[in-house]
Amino acid sequence: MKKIAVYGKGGIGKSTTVSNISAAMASMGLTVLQVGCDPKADSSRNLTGGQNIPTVLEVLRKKGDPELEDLVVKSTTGVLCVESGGPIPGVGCAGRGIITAFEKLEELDAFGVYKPDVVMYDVLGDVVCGGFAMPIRGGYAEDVCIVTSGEMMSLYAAANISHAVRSFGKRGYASLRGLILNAKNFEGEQELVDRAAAEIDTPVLYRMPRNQLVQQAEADGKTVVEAFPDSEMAQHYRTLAKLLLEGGGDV
Amino acid sequence: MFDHLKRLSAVKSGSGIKFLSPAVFPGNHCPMRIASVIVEDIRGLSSLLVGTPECATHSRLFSPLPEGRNGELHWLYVIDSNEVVFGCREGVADALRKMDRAGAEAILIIGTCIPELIGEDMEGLIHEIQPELKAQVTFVMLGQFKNVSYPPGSWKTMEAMASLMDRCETDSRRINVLGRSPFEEHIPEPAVTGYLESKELKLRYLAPGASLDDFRQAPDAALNVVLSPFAQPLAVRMEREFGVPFIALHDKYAPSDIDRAYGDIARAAGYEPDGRFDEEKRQAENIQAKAEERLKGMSFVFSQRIDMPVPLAAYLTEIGMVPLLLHIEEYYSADSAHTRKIKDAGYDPPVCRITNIAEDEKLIKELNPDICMGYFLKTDMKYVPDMYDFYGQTGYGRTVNILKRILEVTGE
Repeated sequence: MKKIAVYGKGGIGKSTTVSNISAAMASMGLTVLQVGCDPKADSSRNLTGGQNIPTVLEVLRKKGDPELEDLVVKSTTGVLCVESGGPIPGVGCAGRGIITAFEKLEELDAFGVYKPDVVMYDVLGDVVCGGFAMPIRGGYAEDVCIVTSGEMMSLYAAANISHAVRSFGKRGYASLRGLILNAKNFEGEQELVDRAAAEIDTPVLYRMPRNQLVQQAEADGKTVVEAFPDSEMAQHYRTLAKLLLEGGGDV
Repeated sequence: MFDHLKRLSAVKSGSGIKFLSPAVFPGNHCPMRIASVIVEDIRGLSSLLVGTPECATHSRLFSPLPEGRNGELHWLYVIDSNEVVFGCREGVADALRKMDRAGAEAILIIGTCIPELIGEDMEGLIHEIQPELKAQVTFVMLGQFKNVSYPPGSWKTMEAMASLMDRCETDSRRINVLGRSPFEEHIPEPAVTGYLESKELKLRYLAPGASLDDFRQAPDAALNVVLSPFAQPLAVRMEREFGVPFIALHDKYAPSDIDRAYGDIARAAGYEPDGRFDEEKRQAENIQAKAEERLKGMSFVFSQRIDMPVPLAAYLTEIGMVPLLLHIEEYYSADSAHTRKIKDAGYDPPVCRITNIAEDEKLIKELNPDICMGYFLKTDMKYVPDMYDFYGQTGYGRTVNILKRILEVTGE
């Protein structure tokens, strides 16, 4: 089983990238489980026709003790989707929520029941606390990728995340695989990202071009891979998916 | 009245078991208490309890001394307000270094609610600090908010001992007996252990009362024989990590299941069964036949103090009884196989935690059970009390005695 955690600054296109990678992997015949680890719970919207799915914490809050079927939604692309969700805004602890969601999936033997070939964790902007570090701890993921653009705040977040992953690396956990450039298409962007990657001492794994099809597909609540499977952009996502499957470590 | 309860088949862990009623109940013991008591009884094992001042104070009520009987260290690490925010890894690491210098041989970190709540990464901490230390370190996280009742304090602590085990060559004559101490004189010795000794097999008991060295060397065994639900998770982990197979006896009530398990033990240990248990088996089969005849269709309810309610309910269902309601203190992952048996027989009883029997008895009466088992105050229902007498026992004798008691109470 391959387990990959994708981090990156909020709004940078993580969920779009992860959903497309998941859809691309599913189209190769793989069983893919995508776990959204963000209280916003919008990781899988492009896989579920633009609809939000019930989150683990929402179901836990309402039902107390959910069944696995309450938490895992199979999308039209075949990707199995889970959203950890978060507590009611302003109350409780989001990090604790992530821990609880992970523990609940483990308790219900989600990996044993669905036997995914790949698990993709889509994690919010930064490793802000013990909860948001869960995907890179305890064998949940082995590879970590950071989605970034060339914008300063995005690269700043990437540096922070890489620092956190490296500090966890000493403990035998997931290792940083590299950056995924989700281009904003401004002048000098590529060079900025190259420089940042050199400073972080990690490769730029893939350079995803900017393409209007992404927004068009999103408007229909779909991934590019599903909406425009023959497009050049869909091919980019499939290439990135293959790259992620081929390298890194197996768990 | 019972709508708020889950059915047995829907329960996957202890958190799925609801209280039968909102009757007044001060709550269960913290599982940290059990862990602290167990660690004191393992010779050579030191401990570091990490928690709030109240955790530290509370633990000293039943584990009062910082030094154990054989020079072990039982130290406390009290978390301060900063550590609640930033984590306590540096302080805990320093404490471990001090314990190491003070001569601790092996240390069990007992994490309580706060470290669990803030996601303190004990596994990572140990990974980092272990190369600096002579003492081996393992940990158990026992946030009470995640462990509704006390049994996790036992089974999680036992399971954590696997981290201290050394990989070693298999000794084909060595058998580990898990979940039983040879010093438990108040509980009759299961017949199987004496029998295995008579076959000149070398038994090593892994339970409170054993030594750190016993645990360390345990992977050399050809077989683990499990006598308690508290020890089965350790057996599962030893099989996964060290390849030591296990055979559980504690959850076998049917004579045919016991017979099969004894046969499996003989094959694994390399001796020919010699009919030593034939008479006991015959007695168990006889009384089972009688029970099948007399108890068929009779409904039952389990109250507190039945140490393995799901396996026992599965057996009673197998002989024709009808489960109406089960009190379950802890749902073990191994219970799922017994749950399936009950479901396959056409039943799926609600499960609960009974916490105030005086009030809850009124609810149980509404079910109009033919017989109840477990702890009750004075009641006019037919019930088999003192089911905890069977704690720690296994084999045909236990089945015979349980069925005898049920038949006596039903008076038929």
